[in-house]
Amino acid sequence: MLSRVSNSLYWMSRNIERAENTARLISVRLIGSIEHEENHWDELISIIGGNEAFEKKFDRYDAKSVMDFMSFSSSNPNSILHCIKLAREDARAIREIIPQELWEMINSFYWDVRQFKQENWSIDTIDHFYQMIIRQSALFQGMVEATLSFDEAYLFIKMAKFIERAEKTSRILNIYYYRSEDPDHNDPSLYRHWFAVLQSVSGHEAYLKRHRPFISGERVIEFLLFDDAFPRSIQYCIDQVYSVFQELENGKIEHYSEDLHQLIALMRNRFHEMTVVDALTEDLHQFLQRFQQDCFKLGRLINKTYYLGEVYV
Amino acid sequence: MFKTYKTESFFDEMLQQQGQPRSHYQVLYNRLASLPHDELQNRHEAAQQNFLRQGITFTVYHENQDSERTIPFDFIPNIIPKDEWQNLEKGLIQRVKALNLFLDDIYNSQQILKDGLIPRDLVVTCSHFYPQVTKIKVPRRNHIFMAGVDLIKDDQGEFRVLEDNLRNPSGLSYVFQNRYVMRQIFPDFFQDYDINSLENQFSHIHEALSSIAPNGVSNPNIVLLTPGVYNSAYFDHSFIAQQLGIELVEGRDLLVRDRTVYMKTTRGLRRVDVIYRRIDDDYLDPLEFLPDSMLGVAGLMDAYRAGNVTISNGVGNGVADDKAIYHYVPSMIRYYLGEEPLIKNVETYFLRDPEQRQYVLANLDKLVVKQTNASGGYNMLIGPQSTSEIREIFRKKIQQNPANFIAQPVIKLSRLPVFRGENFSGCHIDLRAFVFNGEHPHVFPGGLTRVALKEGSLIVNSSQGGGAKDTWVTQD
Repeated sequence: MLSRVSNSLYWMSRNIERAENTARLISVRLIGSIEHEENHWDELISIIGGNEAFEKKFDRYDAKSVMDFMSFSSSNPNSILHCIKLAREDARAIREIIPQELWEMINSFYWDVRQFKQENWSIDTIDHFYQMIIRQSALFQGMVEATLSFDEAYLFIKMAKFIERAEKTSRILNIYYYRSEDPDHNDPSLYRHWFAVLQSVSGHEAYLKRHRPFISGERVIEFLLFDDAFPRSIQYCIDQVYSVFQELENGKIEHYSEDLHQLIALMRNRFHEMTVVDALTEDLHQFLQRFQQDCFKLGRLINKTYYLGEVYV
Repeated sequence: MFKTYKTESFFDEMLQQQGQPRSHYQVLYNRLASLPHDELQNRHEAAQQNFLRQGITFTVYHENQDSERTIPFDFIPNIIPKDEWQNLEKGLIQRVKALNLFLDDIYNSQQILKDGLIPRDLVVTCSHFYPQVTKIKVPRRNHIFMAGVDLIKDDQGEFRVLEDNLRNPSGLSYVFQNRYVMRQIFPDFFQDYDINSLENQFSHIHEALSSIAPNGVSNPNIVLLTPGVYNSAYFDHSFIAQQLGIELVEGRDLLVRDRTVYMKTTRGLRRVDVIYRRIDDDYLDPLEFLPDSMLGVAGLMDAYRAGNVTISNGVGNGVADDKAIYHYVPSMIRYYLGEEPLIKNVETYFLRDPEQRQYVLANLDKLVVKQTNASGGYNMLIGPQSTSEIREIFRKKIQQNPANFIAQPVIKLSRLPVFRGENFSGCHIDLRAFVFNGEHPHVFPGGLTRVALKEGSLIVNSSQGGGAKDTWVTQD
């Protein structure tokens, strides 16, 4: 397969996953703010790493500005609209590779997002938009499973999705952990806080099944880092990246793929060998930041191993 | 519905002067008459929406950045009866054969110039003549793998060639999409018609490409070279690559090593044998043509010269579809094939000739003036529809550089009804026919019918308000 094609598959998949994660993040916050006044909208901007760009455009972190920035703003390279636009451009560049129905789905998705931007949205109606993003992303994943051959193209899509997820879970946890460290928090608000964290990665139901309605910070962190079955826990995602890599390389380690193999194995082992106590003892922020650096390295090594970046030189 | 419809002084493909449908349109005419307006309107809109959702859009330049449009589609097909089509096929094969011989001659012995049939300076000063490719051994001497010939019908209903496109003719994908949408939304229109299906066309095209592989390589690696997603014909490139099952590549996906072309894959380099290129000559290779081209591949021409890769259509084909050379195509047919041309040209005046120039300048209000190196319907003067200011601008331009222009009488292009909501109105059409050359020539059944949607307009190009129709060739 052409390296440029793999590159497009990879980024199409990451951008759709990214848009979905952003939509869910905002939606949970939006619903939470109905009952309780929310003053922490800046957290969302920190999670996507957009504070600098945001502050250039807006004076304060109020709900409407944050939603506008994260959903439609052209000065935010991670806005939902921009992610879907990029995903569509990548899909268009490989539309002869992916099934026609998948392309049409992504193309329609893009037009729907654009149309929503043009309509005058309000805080009362915007949740329809986020729900639509989440549904369309699910549709995308379903169509990938149902219409694509399980070959190299499929594996690149899958790998990108799990890397994006793992990274996003780690960023969410990293930012939201700060708030739980604030000594002014009382018990009910902490409970709500951790519950919202779970919802932000669609993990509240899976968590309740495993731990019953007893929510503590440590358990939530353990669940999001180390659960071996929840599709957005970091360990699960890294296991998936590992097995996709094995499949791509037919279980062999060649000279060109050695570095990549080493890094993925290291990341995976770290999760299998450590426990939540280790992570908290070390300092959770440090633990997560190291993981994010590893993700960054991982992206670069994938580029190097499969020549993804080279074509842009 | 057709009560107010006027054929006027034009040849109407569907209706005769008295308003009666021609026999091959009778069935469709009856069906249209039986359908209520509202339903036609709804289906008409559904068709446009379908194109947008499928992403069959083209990019319009000089407008805001998000300018993506669909080509307006009209549901009344251009129906061509079998007999008429068979004659046309013969004429197209004849014409493309002669044009291919001309290219082979021009880039080798130039016999036709020695024999004085075409003025030498007309050829060698043509901006699309590339001395860089003389004497290159082209597999099967095949310069034209794919030709797009634009045909019109005059007021007598006779087909004429308006233009040959021998470089990168586009539009094939739209033929398929028009049919696809037509079948989805107007399936009932096909009832009681037996028409040529488009299903197996891509096997012919693939065979043609395989047959021109270098050194007779069997099972060659064929790629389609595109400028990328921002090109206005990108949908065409992507669709054709997909249907042919070949890789769609950009210049940055290829590299040349040891005079051999390779593509960059996730598993290293893979050799390329045939390049169906959809980028212009000037951009192919920065080492030989435009040095700052980002679209091409450095060293490509060297690999071509070494016979390690086929580039198709051939490099330098523009010399044969130039608007000035056009005038000589009938002579070429007589010269190379010893046959009379089966399809006529449109009469052409050369402005470099003082006598003809004088006539043209005196009759600017009656003629069409075209710049020889322009395309897409730009830089054209349509005399009867022009203002005196525009005529003066053209008069000056012609006097400055007469060799850059040709003139033709205004042809009364034939018309077909177009749906306008409340009624139908007659709009001018042309037909782009596609001819493929491999081991045997093959004419694609039908082609792309383009329609000038602006009332009275003669310009069918999609960039200037043109639309499209499905094209049917009947089988009975």
